[in-house]
Formats: sequence, structure tokens, C-alpha cells
Amino acid sequence: MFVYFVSIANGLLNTVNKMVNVRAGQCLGKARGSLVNYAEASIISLCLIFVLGNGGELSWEHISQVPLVFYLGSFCGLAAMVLIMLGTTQTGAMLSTILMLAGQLGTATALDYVFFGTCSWQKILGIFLVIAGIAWREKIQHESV
Amino acid sequence: MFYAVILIIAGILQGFMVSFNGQLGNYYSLFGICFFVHVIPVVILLIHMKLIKKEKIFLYNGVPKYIFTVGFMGVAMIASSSYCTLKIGATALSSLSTVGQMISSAMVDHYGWFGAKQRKFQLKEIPCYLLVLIGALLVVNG
Repeated sequence: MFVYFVSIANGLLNTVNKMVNVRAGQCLGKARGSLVNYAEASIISLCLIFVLGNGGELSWEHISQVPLVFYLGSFCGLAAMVLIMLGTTQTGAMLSTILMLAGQLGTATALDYVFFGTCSWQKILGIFLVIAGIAWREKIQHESV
Repeated sequence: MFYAVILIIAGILQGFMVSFNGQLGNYYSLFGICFFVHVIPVVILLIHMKLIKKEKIFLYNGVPKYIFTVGFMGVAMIASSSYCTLKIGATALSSLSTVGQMISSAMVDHYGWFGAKQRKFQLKEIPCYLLVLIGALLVVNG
């Protein structure tokens, strides 16, 4: 149960983080605003690694044991950010939200199948309902503007 | 059509990001994941700003103080998403996180926080929230 609450809390924080990041971009410029975010988080996590006594995981022996492909998450995040900036200005917030969610949940399902071997018709139906709910809300918001 | 494809690719990349970050959890502690997820973009951004754009890196006068909380939020988000991906998978995390995002974005819009344009919550939006919640529950239990 705890993990479900953490997942929802992750979403709650996501919106706040997005809004503060937008403000940082407005005040400092997009690149400098992102740099503040990433540099600060790097320093905080580095401190926490050593405080918790996990400094050994930063040794080259340990780093090189990890498959290189798993380090690509941050490249994917950066590339997604650039594409979102490019695509959202041309398609509007409503369509962009739905398209990104469809892409993200579709990929997550495929990768869950690869890494955990889990996939079912209930999951696929659930994804469609999540996308339909978001699309419906976006439509209501769009009409009320 | 071109921009629609661009946005679907952006979503696909986000799916890969969540899943790969979660897989790093098999090798690193939660804060180890946070470090690698954030330090790689720092290097890329520094190269971009100094060598390509030739921008100044330090220029932070007159910036609202709360902006400097982004790093803490970034650590909390990556640590929690990696933890949840390993426990329940990327699809369930993304679905439940969408529920959370809907709730917090409705609150931000309703109260006009962070300088957002105020837009009152409408009761007719409730069925949309229920649909997303039912979908998320199906994903989690499916």
C-alpha cells in the first residue's frame, strides 16, 4: 500500500516541480534554469550517498559493472524535454498531453513486459481509461477557456 | 502530423527514462541513482552553455528563493519513482503518478499558485478523475 501512496505523491510533486522549473526558466533562461535543477540535485544526492555510507558505489569498478544502457535514462529525459518544447508550441497543451501520455504508458507497458514479464488485458484497458480520462478533462478545460 | 509524432516520441523517451532509472536501482542505492540521473545532464548542459552558446553560467541575482528548491524536489522525485518502478513496475507508477498530477494541477489551477492563470475547479470534471482512477486501479491490479 505504501508504494501506491508514494507513486501518487510522486505525481503531486511532479506538478509543483514543473511549475517551479518553468519559473526558473523564466528568471534565468531555459539552460541556466535546468542547470540549477540538475546541479543542485547532483550535489544533494552526492552528500546523501556519503552520509548514508554508500560511497563505494561511486568506485569505477562498480560503475563499470552496470550495463551502459541503464545510464541512458537521463539522455532520454533531456531529449524528451527538447522534443516537448518543440512539439507543444505547435500542437497545443491538450493534444500534447494526450500524445505524450500514450507514448509513455505504451513504452512503460512494453518495458515492464521485457524486465518483469508482466502484461495483461486489464493493464491495457486501464491505460486506455487513463488516457480517455485525461483527454476528457482536457476537453472540458479547453471548452471552458 | 510531424509534431504529433515528435510528441509521441517524447512520451516514448519518458517511458524509457522511468524504466531505465528504475533498473539502475538493481545496482545503486536510491541516491546513487539520483546522482547519475542528474550529473549526466549537468555535464551536457555545461558543454552546451560554455562551448556552443558561450553563455555565462553564474547569473543568479534577484531570483525568487523558492526556485532553489528544485534540486530537492528533483531528488525526491527520482528516488521515489525509481523505488516504485522496482516494486510495482513503470506502467503502474506512471498511471498512479498521473492521478497525483491531475489532483495537484487542479489545485494549482484552482488557487492560481506559482503565478498560474486561475481556473476554478468544475464539478463536471469529477467523472474524468474517476475514469483515470479506475484505469490506474486496473493497471495496478491487472
